[in-house]
Amino acid sequence: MKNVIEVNNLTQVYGQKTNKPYKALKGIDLQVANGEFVAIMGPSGSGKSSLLNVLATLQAPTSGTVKVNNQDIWQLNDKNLAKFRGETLGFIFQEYNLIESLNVFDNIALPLSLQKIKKAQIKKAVHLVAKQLNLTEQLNKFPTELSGGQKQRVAAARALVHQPSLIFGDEPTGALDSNNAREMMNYLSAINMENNISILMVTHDAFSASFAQKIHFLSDGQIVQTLERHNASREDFYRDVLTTLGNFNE
Amino acid sequence: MLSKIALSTIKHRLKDFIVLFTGLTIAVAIFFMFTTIANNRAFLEANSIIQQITLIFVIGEFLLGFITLIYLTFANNFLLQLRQREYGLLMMYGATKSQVSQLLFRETLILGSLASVVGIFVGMALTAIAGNVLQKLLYLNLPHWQFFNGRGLIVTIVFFAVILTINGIWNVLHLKRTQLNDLLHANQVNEKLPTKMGRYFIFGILGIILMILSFIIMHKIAQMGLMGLILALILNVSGTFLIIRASLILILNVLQKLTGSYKGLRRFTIGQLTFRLSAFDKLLTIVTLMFALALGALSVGRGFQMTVPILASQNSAYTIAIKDPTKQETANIDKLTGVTFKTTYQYKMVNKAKLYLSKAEFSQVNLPVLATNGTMQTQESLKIPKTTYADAKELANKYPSALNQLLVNITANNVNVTANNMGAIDASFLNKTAFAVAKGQSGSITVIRVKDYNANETTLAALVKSQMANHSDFSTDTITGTYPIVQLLRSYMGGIEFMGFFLAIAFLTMLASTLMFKVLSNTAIDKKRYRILSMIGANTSLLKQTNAKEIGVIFGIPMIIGFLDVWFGLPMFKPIMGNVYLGFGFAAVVVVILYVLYYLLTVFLYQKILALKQKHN
Repeated sequence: MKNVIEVNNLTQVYGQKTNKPYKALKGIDLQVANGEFVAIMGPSGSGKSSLLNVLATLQAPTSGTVKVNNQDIWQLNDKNLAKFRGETLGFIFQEYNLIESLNVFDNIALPLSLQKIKKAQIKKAVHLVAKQLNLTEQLNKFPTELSGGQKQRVAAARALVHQPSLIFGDEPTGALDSNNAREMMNYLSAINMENNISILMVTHDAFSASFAQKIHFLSDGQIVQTLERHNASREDFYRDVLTTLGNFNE
Repeated sequence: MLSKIALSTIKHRLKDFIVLFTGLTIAVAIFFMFTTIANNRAFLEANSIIQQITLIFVIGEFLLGFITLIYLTFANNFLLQLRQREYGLLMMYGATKSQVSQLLFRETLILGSLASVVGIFVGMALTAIAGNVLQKLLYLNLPHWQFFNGRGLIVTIVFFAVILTINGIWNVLHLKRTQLNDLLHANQVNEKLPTKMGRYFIFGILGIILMILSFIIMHKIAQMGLMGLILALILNVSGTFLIIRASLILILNVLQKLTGSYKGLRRFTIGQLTFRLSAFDKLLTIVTLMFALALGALSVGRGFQMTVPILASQNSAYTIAIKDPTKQETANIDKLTGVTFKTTYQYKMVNKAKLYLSKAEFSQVNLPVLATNGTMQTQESLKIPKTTYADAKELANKYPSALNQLLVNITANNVNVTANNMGAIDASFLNKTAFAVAKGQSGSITVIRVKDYNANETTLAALVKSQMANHSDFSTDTITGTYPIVQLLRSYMGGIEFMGFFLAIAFLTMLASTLMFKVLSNTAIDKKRYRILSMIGANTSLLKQTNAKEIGVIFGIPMIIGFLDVWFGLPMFKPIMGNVYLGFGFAAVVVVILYVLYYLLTVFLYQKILALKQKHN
């Protein structure tokens, strides 16, 4: 199967010029196959956010390569990187990251407007994805008028609307209560399976992680263990994750 | 202990505090500048041809007070926004509400008093510099000018003390009413949602009507007097407010419906502006007011400045006449640049009663005269006509006033030459030989015309000075030509000219600080938004363009409405100015250049704070 992400020997060092440089990532190798749903777990300070920032093109690595769809992303210039980000990637963050000055429709439509897509097509795509995420009634509202769960669904719709090859999630359920978190994860699974979009999600929450097909455990800047779901049910996989985490803590 | 914690938290947000402190200081300084002039009655009365000038300044001071009040409210809200979270934290650690309230009250007062003290000194310096530099630039020497007066100082101190105390009390009340949890989350600023469009429609139309009404009243101000002025002001300010609050949001709403709005970040810009206009309504209203006042003041000031040489040139065909030039004066005459005419006429005078002039000299080089066109001298008539008279006699017949000027200058006497009478003094033109043998004290007068007064200002002023010193019988109006009239007019109109320029500087400074302050206080909200856009795929240059466009519209609105205000408001000055639009072009160029510079600086600072850069290693 083709890989959507290929990471080779990735390192990230902060404060290189100071006398106390901090190595956040110590030579990570990682692949995500097309259509795969991968989670990355680890305690705070393990390098989760650093890894996601580099993969999501938000911060350049110190060394190593990141290929997305065979394209070495850190070889792109600013303009092409922005274009790449806009066309290929989708983001869902813990703090929703919606633009309060735009209503739900315009928030979801943003990635498409940036790609200079025609109004009629934008409308069609937004309504389609809004239907999928049960947001049709909310399209004219502003983010401040929505509940947390609704906001995160808007964020998901925005990540999905331009049919990216890959969606990044950074603690997407972190700000949600358990009901909303379950609902959100169900939506993400559906997006992964129905739209065949790969998802890479960083989380510290075992429940959310159990929706993935594969979980990498990160500790001290390195991948220390990988857990695969294979054909197990989500509930069984959840138990496996909890066990693994328990072993970690011992 | 609490104060210590409070001080240490200030350090963390030093940049914001510097913005706040600078804004406050400038507000105090400008208020002081204005108050110093407004309270210098002797200066105002001595230097103005408008009788109600003192009253106008009192109205102006109320206006500025109003602007300052709104500005301080912004500043105060900004302070609250900066501090609320910290105060919430202090209360989490066990500080009581009243302890924290006291701390906030003290902080407001300390910041305010510091800004007041610094502001008063800055104001004094600004007043002194603006005053002296301006007087030099405009070649004015205004009587009773002072950069400091006690009354002005007291008014400034009392004004700010009262407002700061009110602000302090308001802050404490606000703190008392707010829940701890809200304080802790105060940094997550939520902008107000714009209300529904139906309302905008009514208010939008009303705003335009009020605005037009104010223009009509301004046009008829001569009939309505002071009440008209106040009425026009009220209508104009409320009209501006409603236009910003409603009409423009209505327009944005229409723009949003257009197909083109789906391109790039246009809908983002429209959304941002819809929110900003609702949040900035009061600010943009006073900025419009300040823009209009600055542009208007400068137009009037410049108008008077430009009127001076025009009026002067209607009074004489030459720039200056120098009687019996000394060596020093001859050297000065040689220094003059752009000389278009220069000649010297000999004269002989007997006991200051009998004057002989050489007919031949006047026939050879014609004395420059103004051609009269009916009673009014037209612009064309200001050129020196070519040989318009054959001999001196014809000069006396045809252009008595030109000869009159010269004779006044020679005899230091009031003469009134008519066609048949050479005036109170017994003056006559003699032919060459008769003039040569005539007895009497001989002397000469050199008549000069230069192209540009300003280029020769120092030399001309020195010549007037030495003429006055050399001839004890000269009075201020003995020296003839346009330059002495320029000097006379400057002393007459200089006050208005000066006040126009001075007020323009004051309003522009205040405007810059207000607008920049408010715009920059939004970076916290926008930082996140631009980061999101960047993640969604907007590249840096598009983000920069979008940001510049948004700030551009916010800057553009006061400019456009301000221009309309001035264009329709200038006719108010018809009673005291010939052509009310004379200085408008100059003022427009200067104000727009400065305004564009403010804009560019704001965009630069904004984008620096937003850090719109790719983090490429």
